[in-house]
Amino acid sequence: MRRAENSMATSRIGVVGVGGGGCNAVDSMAAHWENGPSLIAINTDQQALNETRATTRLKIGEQLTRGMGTGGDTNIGKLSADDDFDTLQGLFQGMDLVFVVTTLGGGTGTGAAPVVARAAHETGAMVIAFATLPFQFEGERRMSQARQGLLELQDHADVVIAIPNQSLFASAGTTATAEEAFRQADYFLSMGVFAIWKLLTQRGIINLDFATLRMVARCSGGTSTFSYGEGHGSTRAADAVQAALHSPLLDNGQALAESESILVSILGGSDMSVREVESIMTAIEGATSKESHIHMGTAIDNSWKDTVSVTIVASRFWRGNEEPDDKAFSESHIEEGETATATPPRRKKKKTGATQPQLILEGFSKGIFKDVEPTIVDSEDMDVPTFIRRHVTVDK
Amino acid sequence: MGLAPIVALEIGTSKVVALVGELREDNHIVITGMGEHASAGVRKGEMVDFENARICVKEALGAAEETAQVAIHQVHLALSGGSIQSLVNRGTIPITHPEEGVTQDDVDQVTELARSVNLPPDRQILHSIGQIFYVDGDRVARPEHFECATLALDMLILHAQNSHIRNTVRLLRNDMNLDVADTAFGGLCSALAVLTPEQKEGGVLVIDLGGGTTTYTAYAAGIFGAAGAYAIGGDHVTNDIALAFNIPRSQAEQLKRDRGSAIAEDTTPNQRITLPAEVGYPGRNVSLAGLHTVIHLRMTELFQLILRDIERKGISHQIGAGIVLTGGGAQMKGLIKLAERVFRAPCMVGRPVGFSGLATATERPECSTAAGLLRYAFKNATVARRRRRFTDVLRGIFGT
Repeated sequence: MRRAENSMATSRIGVVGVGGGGCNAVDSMAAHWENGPSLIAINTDQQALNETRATTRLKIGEQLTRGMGTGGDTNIGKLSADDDFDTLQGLFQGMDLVFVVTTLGGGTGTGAAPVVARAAHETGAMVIAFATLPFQFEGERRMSQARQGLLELQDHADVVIAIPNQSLFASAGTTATAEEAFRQADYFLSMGVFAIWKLLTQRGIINLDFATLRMVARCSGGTSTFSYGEGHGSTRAADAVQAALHSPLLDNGQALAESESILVSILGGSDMSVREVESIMTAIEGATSKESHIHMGTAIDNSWKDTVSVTIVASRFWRGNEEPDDKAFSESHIEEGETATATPPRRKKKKTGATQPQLILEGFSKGIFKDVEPTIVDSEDMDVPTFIRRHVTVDK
Repeated sequence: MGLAPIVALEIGTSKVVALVGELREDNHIVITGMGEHASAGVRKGEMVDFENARICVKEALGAAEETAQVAIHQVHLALSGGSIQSLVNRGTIPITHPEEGVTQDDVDQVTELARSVNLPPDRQILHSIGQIFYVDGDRVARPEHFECATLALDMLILHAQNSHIRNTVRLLRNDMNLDVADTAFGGLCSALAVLTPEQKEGGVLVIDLGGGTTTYTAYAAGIFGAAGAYAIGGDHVTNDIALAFNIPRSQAEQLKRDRGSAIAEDTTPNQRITLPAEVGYPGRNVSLAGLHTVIHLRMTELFQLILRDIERKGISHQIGAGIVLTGGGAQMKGLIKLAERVFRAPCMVGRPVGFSGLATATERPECSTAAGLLRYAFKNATVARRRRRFTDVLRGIFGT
């Protein structure tokens, strides 16, 4: 019934996994989704690429690495992507939205993902990056590489959603093995992408269209956080929203109370009722500040039964509606080539951030401490100013 | 007294200080020489650029040699890196000859046992300090001649990452031909410099606020109770300010020194400070309340970390004599008030006591560590002279 629309949307949305972790996440998407968006795996490691189920595979940096991976060197990752920049651009030609999925910390993910984001952006696509930050047990070197990578990713993507794996680990319980922790990180990544993709491609009780998403992306400042909750059975709506609200990824809800821009995606089967959507939204509104800008959408997936999921993307700042060119967008414009005209103002905004409140999430503003061994206390990076970590707005 | 002058060297994050001191009667120390040089190549209390650090140390020592009119071949070194931590280890032995009472041999044995702890391979013991003996579970300061079945000793072990110590010592020994006579924890030195015996007896917490690190030392009932360090210091405050207002570091540092306060509410709302233009940066003005908020949050957090540590060690309610702040950061406006609030105890700024000589060295909280290191070194030298006694197990152990 909605076949035509669906196929249109899938052809224009791409999900790219960059590096080993990104490819794993894309792989788990391939296993779970039918008729999903096109899945692309990009890696320097030939062997890892061979095992992926992504529809498109691209090996980068053949000359540099001979298909053997980067050995954790982010510079090699970056140079590899630079070498194949034209190929990357070709890959994204005609796409409206590209999800760049990566696990920061390693060589390819950290080094190449920002270049991949830039390639997608320069071909005119909107870029949403999902990036996980390493677990603590992965060591300090990977953590500092990851922070650097995240900063670079912010320069090239419209929205960067950071997922600190360590917080996920906290929720997995003390008995979780490393493998379980990694698998859960992959699952969260894929569900985040899935929720936004569904929102754009499937009709629901309340629609959230591409134009709204673009506006949210443009007005939200800095790095965003993300959480996901799922519920089954008769209390599915309450369970899902509580799980999302109390996710350790949102500091048990603390981050949400301090966010100015919030995007909510509610996914359910055809059995989801209006009342359930309403109760979810009431719960979310109760947990957020009155001033925050909340955008929500629902999507129905007929293959879902008895299950509701809630996805929240929270950004610290709302910069207000800058140019009123949002009006130019409506759903029908997805098909048209408006992306080219929208690109310049978007880029300009990124570069003039100095007077705007900027990027907020642990570990990114380190100033003079960016090259020295960080002071970590209780997995908090003390080199980041306290006011940033505590989300305190300072009079300028 | 016949003891040779001693040279104390502190290679800090913001400055290198070298003091030359002589011991007089009543353990009074006269500072006869001093050299100071802005530090380069040190971050968070640990050397990162050896060549620059070497030049700074050379300058400071040169100035100290000149003022004291001595040639320096040997130094005592203060260590304040953020890797320093403390733990208490208890050694217990049975007394097999109860009728004789505790002998010197028993004390030696329990001391050795209490001192032996298993540390990870990358860490080494910096100090092991005897706290208190237990004879059949009762606390005693001197256990000799007590009749009992068991003797125990609590030993406070201060340990640090060994690469940091090794690198610094290697630089001084190999590249500068200096003999490193001993090393000591900077926080302990500061406490020795600024505290009176009454304060130690009443229970006190000394916090030394340095450029790159903050160290703390707590005494409860005259016993050295806990110590530690955080690689958080004045540089962090400066960096916070620079990032908050998007201004260069030099301006942020100036702003911190001239207008900074750790208490936010005393500020008149809407008051603004004008910053002059600098190369590459236009002139601008910033909110004074904002500045104070940034500093307040950072310093509150730091104090809370220390409070939590001493709470965990069970001595937070034993600091009757209150808090003593020292080090360069202690001069921040509003800091005393803030410390009183966080620790709920009286607070003061501590300066070296029982020193005379060069006024610049004896009156400034920045010199507490180096001055205290002199006291530590003289104490050890006198103890060594009187023959070692086991209730004075205060000594630094340095093994390369």
